[in-house]
Amino acid sequence: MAEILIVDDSRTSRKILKEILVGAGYTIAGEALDGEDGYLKYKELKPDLVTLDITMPKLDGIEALQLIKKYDENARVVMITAAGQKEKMIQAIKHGAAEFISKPYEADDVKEVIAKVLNS
Amino acid sequence: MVSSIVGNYLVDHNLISMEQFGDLLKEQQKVRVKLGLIAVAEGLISQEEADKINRLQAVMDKRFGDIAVEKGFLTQGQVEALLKKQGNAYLAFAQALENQQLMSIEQLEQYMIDFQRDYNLTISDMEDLKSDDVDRILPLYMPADSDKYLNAVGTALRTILRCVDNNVYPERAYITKRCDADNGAIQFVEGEHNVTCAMIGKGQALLRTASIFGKEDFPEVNMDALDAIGELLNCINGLYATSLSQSGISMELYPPEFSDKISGIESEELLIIPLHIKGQKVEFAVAIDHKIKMEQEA
Repeated sequence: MAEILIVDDSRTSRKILKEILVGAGYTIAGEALDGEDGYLKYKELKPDLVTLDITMPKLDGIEALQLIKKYDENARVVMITAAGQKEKMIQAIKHGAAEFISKPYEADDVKEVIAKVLNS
Repeated sequence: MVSSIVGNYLVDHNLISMEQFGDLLKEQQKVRVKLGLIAVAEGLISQEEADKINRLQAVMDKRFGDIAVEKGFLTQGQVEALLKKQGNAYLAFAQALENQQLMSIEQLEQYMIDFQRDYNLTISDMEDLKSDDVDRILPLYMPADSDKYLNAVGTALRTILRCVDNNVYPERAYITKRCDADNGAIQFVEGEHNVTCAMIGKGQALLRTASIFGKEDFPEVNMDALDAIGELLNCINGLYATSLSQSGISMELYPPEFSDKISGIESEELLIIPLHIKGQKVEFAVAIDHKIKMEQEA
């Protein structure tokens, strides 16, 4: 089953997302707490997919996305957004994000988006 | 929300017990509000007339509304209007009170007159309250000249209703410069107006909110529990930013900050709305064009 890297500064958000993904049969390759850590772990773990929260300290999700896509143009990146981050979403599309998941998480939406991106 | 507001008023005045109130909230989910109760609540017929129609119903095998029209108590138009109110939460609560034989709708309406007087509300305010519509109820709890806070507080209340406690209810909001607290989270949102929102509490007040939203039984309000409160703020502010974006206003969210060792929060001007969430009183705070600072415990 696909391996997923979760990048989010919120422990709560990582935990809920992890439970949904593990429940759907995916393996969690690792977790990172900010964009910089997320980029380094992506290079180290080479997961099948990475979820990137947009609002994070140090490097935010958009900056981490740019670094990851520069390192691996085929990287499958799903952005995690609080609703309302329209401009950030436009930037994320521009930089190659595959999809978006909105908080608070709806398990069915999460599973649908992840499956769609992994099958693309 | 109206059930919580009315129910807590009845508890505070020793008219029902806390245990009975808990049972009523459960009963309310199951009840089908009777047309007669709505007609009495609306003042269209008396309780005696409703009882008379009920007795006739037992022997006529007809619906309440049909008998009421036939006997001239109500018009067809009135019956149709009453039928539309059958899903109303206030009336469902009133029906639960009757079903549990705690009080009749007429008695409840008498207590609501006391409520109206105690809270200095108009008849129109009472209609807003009974509508159970957050957008109509919230202004009743806001201080004068506080319209600029309404959108942020309304978003918070709706999000808490949906994600944490569908029986949350507010106390009167107020403007201040500081508020005591032991722990909490804040989030800064930058845009045309800089907005800071906070959720704070004393002792273990935030525990249940954190546990429900974080889907985890935290043993106490520690940093993990406050991370969950920060995430709740993040969701509230995301939705708030969405509503502003519909007016062409773009907002950027910053990562939430949280601390379990504060003495309070302060700002140049701060709106505080106390919220009762799962039996705990917490404070939601908003500052517009001013930042909120957490005062670290000495």
